[in-house]
Amino acid sequence: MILPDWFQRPVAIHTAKLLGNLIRVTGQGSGTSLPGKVGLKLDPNLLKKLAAQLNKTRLAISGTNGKSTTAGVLASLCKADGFNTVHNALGANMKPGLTASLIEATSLAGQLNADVGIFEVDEASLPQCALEIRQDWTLVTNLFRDQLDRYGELDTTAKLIEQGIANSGGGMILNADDPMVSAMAVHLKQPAKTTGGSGFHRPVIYYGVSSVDYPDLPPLDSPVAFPREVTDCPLCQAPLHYDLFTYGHLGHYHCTACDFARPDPHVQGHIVMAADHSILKIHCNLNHTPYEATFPINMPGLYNSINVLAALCAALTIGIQPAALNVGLDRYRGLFGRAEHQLVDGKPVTMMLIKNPIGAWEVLKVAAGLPKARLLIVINDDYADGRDISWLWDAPFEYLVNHPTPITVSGKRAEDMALRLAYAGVPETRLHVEHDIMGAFHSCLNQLDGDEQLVVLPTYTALLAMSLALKTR
Amino acid sequence: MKLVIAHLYPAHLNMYGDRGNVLAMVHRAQCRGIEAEVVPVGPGDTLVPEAVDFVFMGGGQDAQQMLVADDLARHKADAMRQAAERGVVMLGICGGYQMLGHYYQPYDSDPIPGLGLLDCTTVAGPERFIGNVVVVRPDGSTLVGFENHSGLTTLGQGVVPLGTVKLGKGNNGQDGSEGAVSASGTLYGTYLHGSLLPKNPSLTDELLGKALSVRYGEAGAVAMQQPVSPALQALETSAHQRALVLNR
Repeated sequence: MILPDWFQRPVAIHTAKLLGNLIRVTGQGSGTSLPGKVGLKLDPNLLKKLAAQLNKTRLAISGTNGKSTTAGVLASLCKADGFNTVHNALGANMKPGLTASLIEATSLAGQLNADVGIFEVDEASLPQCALEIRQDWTLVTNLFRDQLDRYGELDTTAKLIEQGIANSGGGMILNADDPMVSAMAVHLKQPAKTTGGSGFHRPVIYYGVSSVDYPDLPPLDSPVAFPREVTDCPLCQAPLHYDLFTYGHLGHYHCTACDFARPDPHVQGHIVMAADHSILKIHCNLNHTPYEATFPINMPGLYNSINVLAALCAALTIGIQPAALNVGLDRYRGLFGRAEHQLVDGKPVTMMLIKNPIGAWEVLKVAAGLPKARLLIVINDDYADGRDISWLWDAPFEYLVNHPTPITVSGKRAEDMALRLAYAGVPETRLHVEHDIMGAFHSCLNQLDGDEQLVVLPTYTALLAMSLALKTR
Repeated sequence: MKLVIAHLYPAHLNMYGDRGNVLAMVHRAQCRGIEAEVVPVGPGDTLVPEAVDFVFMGGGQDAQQMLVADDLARHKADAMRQAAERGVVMLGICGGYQMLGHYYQPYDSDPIPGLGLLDCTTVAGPERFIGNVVVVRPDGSTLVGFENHSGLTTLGQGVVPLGTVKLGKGNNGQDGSEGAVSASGTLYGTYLHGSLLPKNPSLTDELLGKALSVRYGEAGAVAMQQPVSPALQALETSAHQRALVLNR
């Protein structure tokens, strides 16, 4: 379709908005990507043109884990400081999804009603998207080898993100604790041959965790080896030495052969992981006057505190007022299901997704520290869960050995879970197997005494099934 | 009576839940009043062939696999050969299986020599085999597990398959075979994760019985007569049955 530009864009936006509304009204999906696809079909430069209207800040977030939470918290912080903020909130993190989020905030005349854009971007889409959104900053959360995707392509992912940063022309906000992420600053200092980059000085801001305390964690009867990826130096491939591991392969490292080491973070976090709450204390050295503050984190799991640290670092980097941070954090509601506290029949229920050993490690530490918790573990092995449940054997279920109340296991692979708990040392008499997920849920709920709460550890499809069942009651 | 398990490279080959196999050996031994000791053997460590009764080696990611192959060749090849000659029972899974064989031929570089204890060779294939597996053993019993490999393994004359795939691809997706057992009947290789031994207790007992008989002879067989706890046996059996039902 060849149309003059002044005509093309309004038509593209008009059609896409109409389509978005139509999808929502008819209930045919959530309308997150399709309007973007259609808009881009009508005007291939739509993303570029709309993003260019974001006159305060454009920021992209990439990495393998924690993108959605970090982007959600950051958008909430920006809004709390009074900025009209566009954010691809529903996890549609490729070009059409980004475009759709901008269309949503655009008037029919083509005028974007926003000054800040916070974009969660899929790693593989980042190089192309960066050419169009030209983000001022790229925040890189981490590079975890997905437990379910064992193809050893982490180097490829790192290169894609580096290309995306190079293409943006902007700076980077990096997790100092992840060697492959902090190495991006070293790689990007050299003029990039493939992109014809000029090698100019890109600003680099680091965030990192200085220490983590677990005041309520019961000690293990015997030590369990932490399942972590063995990480070699990204620059010279010699082994890295760690003084401290915080989460998976994240921590305080230095190379045993070359000068590569964890950089000093501009924004440091000290995290206290108590059983029923976590606290993040940050120390910020971004400006001339150091700034310190303490934030309660209303999401379980160390990874969520690290995501919040990343979002706070980004907010301070782009000039969000410190006064807005607590408000913004307060207003953020955890992503669906990742850590959902709710009342069912007036009884407290917490759901914490488990899907791989590293994530489960944190969830189990939290669950084991909860004094008045009844546990329901639901293991499915459908496609979205990852078909391979071998990871159960790498996760430290030994933390539950001294759990005072019976543990119910459910889902398609309930027996594997029961066996894993028995091998961990949980007495067989305290294990209950009930295949039907909602049946198990309600019998656990009915057994709650007084001030007990139900803590559910489901895999992805189990979580989805329970959330749907609870919604449609 | 004591069983010494050498767990090779536990920190490097630790992403596939293969640790469960060591736990299963320990539990089934302890249930019968047999003491079990697990000795982690990492890069640079030496393996004492006379001191071990069972050797386990799991699978890892490519980078770790290369490191391990190099360390095996440098520091452990002789000891592993001597242990195998002593009759020490060994189980290699996935990468561990491939390294018990003659060599692994990657897609775009020189072959990586293995220990040559199992008469088989592996060549990188174009496709990755991922999915649940059900194996039928020569005696009609079943094994359940999960495979995730692109290496294609071809068996030589000196080994027999562990079994035949009823579901899944097995050694190479062609001949229906899965795994390998040496002519001596003491060296085992397989692609089955899952973990394998916890939900295949008959195989666990087979390995345990053979391992004990080397050091303790008849006394080992007598020890194996002790029943394991019925509750544990029931959980293991139902996990096995459940996998069969789901993959029918």
